[in-house]
Amino acid sequence: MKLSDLEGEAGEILERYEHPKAGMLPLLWLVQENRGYVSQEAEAWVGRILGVARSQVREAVSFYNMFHTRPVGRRELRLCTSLPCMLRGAGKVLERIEERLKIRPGETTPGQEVTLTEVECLCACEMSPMAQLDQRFIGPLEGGPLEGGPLEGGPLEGGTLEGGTLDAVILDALTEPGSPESAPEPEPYISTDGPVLSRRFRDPDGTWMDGYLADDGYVAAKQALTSMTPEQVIDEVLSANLRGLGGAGFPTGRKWAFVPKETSKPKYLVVNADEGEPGTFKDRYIMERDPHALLEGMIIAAYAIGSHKAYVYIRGEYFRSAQRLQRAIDEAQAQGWLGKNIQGTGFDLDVVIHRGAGAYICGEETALLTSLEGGKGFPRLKPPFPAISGLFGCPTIVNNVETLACVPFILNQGAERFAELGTESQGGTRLFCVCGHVVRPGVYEASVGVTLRELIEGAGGIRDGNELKAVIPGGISAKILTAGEIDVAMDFDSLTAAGSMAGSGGVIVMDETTCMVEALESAARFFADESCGQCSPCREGTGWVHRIVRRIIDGRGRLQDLDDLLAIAGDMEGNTICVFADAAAWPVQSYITKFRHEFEEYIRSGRSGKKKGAVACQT
Amino acid sequence: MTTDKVRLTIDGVEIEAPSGQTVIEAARQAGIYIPYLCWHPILKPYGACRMCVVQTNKTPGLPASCHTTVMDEMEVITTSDDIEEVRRDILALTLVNHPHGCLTCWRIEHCGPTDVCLRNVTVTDRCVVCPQNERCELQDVTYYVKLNEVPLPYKYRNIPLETRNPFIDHDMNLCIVCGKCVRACDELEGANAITFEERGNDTIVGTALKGTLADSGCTFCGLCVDVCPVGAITEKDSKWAGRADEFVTTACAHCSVGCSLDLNVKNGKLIRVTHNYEASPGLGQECVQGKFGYKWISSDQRLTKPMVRRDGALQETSWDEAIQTVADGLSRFRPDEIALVGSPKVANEDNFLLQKLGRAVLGVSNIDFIDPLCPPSALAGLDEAFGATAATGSLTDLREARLVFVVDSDLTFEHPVAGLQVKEAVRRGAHLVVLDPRDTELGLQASEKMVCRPGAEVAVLGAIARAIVDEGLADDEYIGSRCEQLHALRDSLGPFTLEAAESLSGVPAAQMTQVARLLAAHKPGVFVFSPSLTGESPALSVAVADLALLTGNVGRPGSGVFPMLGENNSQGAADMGCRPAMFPGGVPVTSAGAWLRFREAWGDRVPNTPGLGLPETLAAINAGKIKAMVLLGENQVLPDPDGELAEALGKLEFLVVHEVFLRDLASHAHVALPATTFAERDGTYTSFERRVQRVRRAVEPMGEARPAWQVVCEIARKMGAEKFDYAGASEVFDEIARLVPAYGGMSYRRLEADGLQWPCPDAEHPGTGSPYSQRFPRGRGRFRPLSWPDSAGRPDTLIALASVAREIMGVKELGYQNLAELNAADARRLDVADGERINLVSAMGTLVANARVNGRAPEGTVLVTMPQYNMVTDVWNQKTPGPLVMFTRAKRYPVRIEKAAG
Repeated sequence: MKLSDLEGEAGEILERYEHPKAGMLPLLWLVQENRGYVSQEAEAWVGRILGVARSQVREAVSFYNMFHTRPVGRRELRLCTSLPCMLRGAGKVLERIEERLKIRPGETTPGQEVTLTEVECLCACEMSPMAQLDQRFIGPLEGGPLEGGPLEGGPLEGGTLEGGTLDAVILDALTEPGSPESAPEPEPYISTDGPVLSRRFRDPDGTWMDGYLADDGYVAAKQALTSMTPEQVIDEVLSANLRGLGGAGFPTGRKWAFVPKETSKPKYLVVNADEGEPGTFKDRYIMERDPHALLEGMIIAAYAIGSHKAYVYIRGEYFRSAQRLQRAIDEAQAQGWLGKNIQGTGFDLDVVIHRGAGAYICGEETALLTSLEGGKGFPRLKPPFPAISGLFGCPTIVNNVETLACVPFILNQGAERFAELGTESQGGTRLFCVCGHVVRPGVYEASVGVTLRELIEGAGGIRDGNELKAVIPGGISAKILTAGEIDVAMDFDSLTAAGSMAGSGGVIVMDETTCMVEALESAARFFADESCGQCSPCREGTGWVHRIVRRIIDGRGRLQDLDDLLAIAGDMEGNTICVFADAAAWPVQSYITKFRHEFEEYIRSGRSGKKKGAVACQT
Repeated sequence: MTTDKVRLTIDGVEIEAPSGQTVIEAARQAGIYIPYLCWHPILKPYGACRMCVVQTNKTPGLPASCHTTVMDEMEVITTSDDIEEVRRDILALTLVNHPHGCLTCWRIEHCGPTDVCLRNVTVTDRCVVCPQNERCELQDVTYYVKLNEVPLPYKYRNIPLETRNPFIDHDMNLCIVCGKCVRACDELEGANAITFEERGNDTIVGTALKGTLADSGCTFCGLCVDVCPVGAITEKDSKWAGRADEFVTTACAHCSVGCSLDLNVKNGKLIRVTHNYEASPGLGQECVQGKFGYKWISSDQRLTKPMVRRDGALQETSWDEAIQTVADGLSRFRPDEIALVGSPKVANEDNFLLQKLGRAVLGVSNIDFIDPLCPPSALAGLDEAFGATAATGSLTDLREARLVFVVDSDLTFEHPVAGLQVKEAVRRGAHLVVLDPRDTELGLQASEKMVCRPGAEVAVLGAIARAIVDEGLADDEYIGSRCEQLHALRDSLGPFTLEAAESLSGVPAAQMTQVARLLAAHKPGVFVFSPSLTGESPALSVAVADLALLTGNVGRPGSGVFPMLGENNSQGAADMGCRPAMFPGGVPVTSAGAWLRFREAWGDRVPNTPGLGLPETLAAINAGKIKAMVLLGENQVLPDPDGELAEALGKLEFLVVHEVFLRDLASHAHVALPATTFAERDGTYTSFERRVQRVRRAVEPMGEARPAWQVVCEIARKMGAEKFDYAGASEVFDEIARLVPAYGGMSYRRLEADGLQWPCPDAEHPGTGSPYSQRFPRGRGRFRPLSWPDSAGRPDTLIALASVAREIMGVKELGYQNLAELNAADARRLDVADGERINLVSAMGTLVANARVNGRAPEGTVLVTMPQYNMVTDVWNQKTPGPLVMFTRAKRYPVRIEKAAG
């Protein structure tokens, strides 16, 4: 397809945005979807359409790692090698795929059938080890026994889990796009009983408008728009003790109250659906199985802050989430729940889905705004905070998907009821994502006051009857807890008091077979890959941490390395524009401090002391 | 920004700082150094290098002082063990990608490039072989934080050097990713030619796809070179020149914007030019002319000795003899047989004394100057409307406007820093309206771009004025209180119907109506225009002034009329009385009061009758009435498309030229005197925003060159005149201040910092940015009638338009030379291909140029860009290959296009 043929569609895309440059990522997606990759010619074309310098297009293309600048295979197999998948054997899966396809990550099979890419967490850890074939998530890829050497020739032995065998995936990868897929849809362990967030999670096809309306859907929105003032809505959310569930835990009502009342500028609601924290996969379930709950929460939030335009920033890998949410938006639009004059109340709200393109840092709220405006995802200095000067320099509230999905419940059942579900300082429930070495990884809705021990037990306990070794309670950024530290409630304040953080609610469980050096290598690689490169301490620090840990893994470590690592981590912590560097420093500090003996042992012997090293390192 | 002050202490020193200021700024003002790498006074805070961390009693942790604002009762500590440790550790991380063997070595100051290094630092990694050695911010910071060791090994990036670009070299192996270049290119230049590529640890600065800077949209302003703290981005030519001994701030000698530059001098030589960020003119921005256009100062082609014509040839002589020859020569003629030509390139002191020589010594008013881009007579409309011939506002008004109307000015090319203000206004949401036959860069950003046929500009402006009147969109309140004679305009608008204007200009009627409505709806608005395409006729200035008054856009912040004067001192040349009918200060010579004042000062010979302007002078030469001429210039390119000027000069019996170069026109001289350049003399220039600024001597004059004011004094004294004794340029200026009321409060002492904008009537007066907020010099603003333009380009003849040169070395590399830009439709009709050599044949001769087929030129028009005198070899009037770059009297020539032979 010629670029000029895309001009009509490009024009439609630009109409969704207040500023043309914000069309950067959608236009690059448009090009890549139609032409397979973003050529130099296409970069120039995008620059022309947006009216920006070509270097700014270049900057975006080279920043977001989902864009290809060279032709690739007809299909793309993205294999996740982040910590949660590594814990469940992604290293071996990669070896087998390399063996079978005879290509390395970054390469394409000679017949242009498939390009293999090694990616950081796709946030589908409930089906780990997993991969994404074009748009579809596939896992667990447990093709046969994962220990022992690569298989000699012949077809791979099939696994037994319903997630599909590795062999089948590879067969899939080698078939033409659009052919019937041999691997069935995975069905991991998902809460369906609520009380707040997972009530409508039963149907894998997601809840449609009728189903949502039948279950008291949009009642809360109607109530807010017709019988409450924005201040009353904010008060209700405040007294519900709802806190931001993206990871920072800031009281949502207080955040909303920051938006200036008297301003001539438009106000924006931006939904952070850039779920990227390794070990976290909750927002995807909300968007795919209960998208109207999010939309209803958005309507209420927009009303509370006086916004008439909302953007949902969905990470690029979440193709289906974007499709499901778009389906819900279309339904809501058709039935007068979005658009002009919602349900005759005079309130307007337009919702636009904006897709990211592969950059963890865009989950940071100011980086998300920079990215939404069409730039590379560099976080911004604060103040000014987004509530004062956010998207396009206008007052903006950025809320996480799960946070907003709680809001209809609060209005329906009352703030008191929501607050009672949680602890004194934090109301409600959370979707906890439990992954790693548990029997049943999955999404578990529970009171925010649930203890870590209860969560692990609820997930069936440790697999194979093994002993628990350590847990990361709130996504990979959180400091690690040892087996002795799991009698802690999962709310923000309790986990902070315990020296870790509740973060995104991603619980990564490690059993006794885990090698902590290899686990740290995986975490360090993630942060080195995902640092945006703006602040010196982080740009250089994450690179060095990874290189040093890598050196230890390679058997060339020195005991001095451990102190160097702690020193570098100390320099990164608190010394950058955003908290990414802190997040990168915490694993280093907590793994080494709590498991120093194991690190020293590894360095002395030049290899892991764990015979059954579960985190596979490339040999 | 609030003007409240807060009180705080920094390292125990009590300080008062404006609220909103950052801690690092407050500290700098108090003379307290806080180290930094990514911070820069003209850029927005970035907060990435963390060198500027401090401790305060108001903030947790160690905040970066570049984005921590001052607070009342704040106590800031800039150095402590904790702070130093953090700085050292983070700097060590930063240094792993930068060669640092020498940075952390105590012997660094003793080492030479080829010494044996005991630490085995390879030769290429040594500080002594880095172009930035001794002016490296990284060195400064490393020493300050006392970093003695980098515990991690050095990781060489292995990026090839980039030396393809003109002016600028890149060695990104030295980059510390502070982002100042990228931000300067974005925030201040809006060019976005360089950017960050990749991310995380791989982040690096580069052009799009590693292309050339030119392909990336670089304007070669050089700001990236100036802000780079290390040797990653360097100026090609002065890379190895080292650290300057001295920095001399001076006004730029190129265009009329008047940016402030720092001349970097080492061993008595000008080694490079850097931008002066502290000075307000130029607003921290730069352009290629100011930054890189200084090589001509040290050209070996310069005239270095006085020369006198003997036996038909110019021969070197002494100053004494040369001055005697001039005095004797001039004495041979009746005063009214002598003409004096000042220059928009020379200083006020020079022009002032030249006209004083004419008026006080010779007793004639035959004085004029040549500004090819903006002929002085073309601005008569401003004088008629306001009572002064100057811009009605300041450079900053351009960026504060809500609507910018640009007529016939290729602003971003001809006056780049003024162009940046317009771009900034657009970035802030202003409407941009462009009326131009050409496709200019601003045209691309315009919300209304009116492409008109050459010569039809006034028809379009008149039609817009008429639409404003007809639709009742005029600013009646403003007109009622501030203006007069609206009827004069209204009565003349009869022929200016939208239909007639459309058929003459090609601009759609609906678009003109739309512009009329925009003008009424979006205020304040500024009008920027250049008579470069319409020549000496004042019609364009009349129409622009009328439109500005009609919409109430004069005398308010963010509004005004801005004629884009061509040269650095065009405004000053007019102010100094280098006009046949004006005394210094722009007072008519016929004004009895002024005549008395000047007679009192200079004696009874001062005439009160207008003399001959340049066009009349040329006619008078041909008629044998003018026989002698004194011509000043400091590297001025005199336009002479039809050879008229050369022909007239050739007929003179006595021609004295004071110039830097002896070019073709000067070659007719009987006496040629070597002039100093702006870097070699003291003086003042007056910029287009009426800002009088100091020009300072930074280096010794080359050879025997002298500034014009001295030479004029010697001539006058030799002719027996009194009152030509000045101890220095500042005394000349003091006389200007005594005789020109608008300059009355100025002196070199007061001009020391940023200069002053006139009117500045007394010694306490702060100068005037927006002079007409209450009244105009003539009282009320006056509407003048418009007349229907008699001719405009018709699509059946191809018309050549000339674009103005950038007088810099390096334009050749920029690819601007000898281009004839053609519309694709014309190219097809004429069977001309892109890149083909073509002849443009006109009545004046033949120009050979490279055809470029693009969208810039409207149909029926060839746009000729001939940038550099010493690059252009084939020009009209082939007799003497030379600096014939621009067109004065008629900017438009019917041409025929032929394919060039071979």
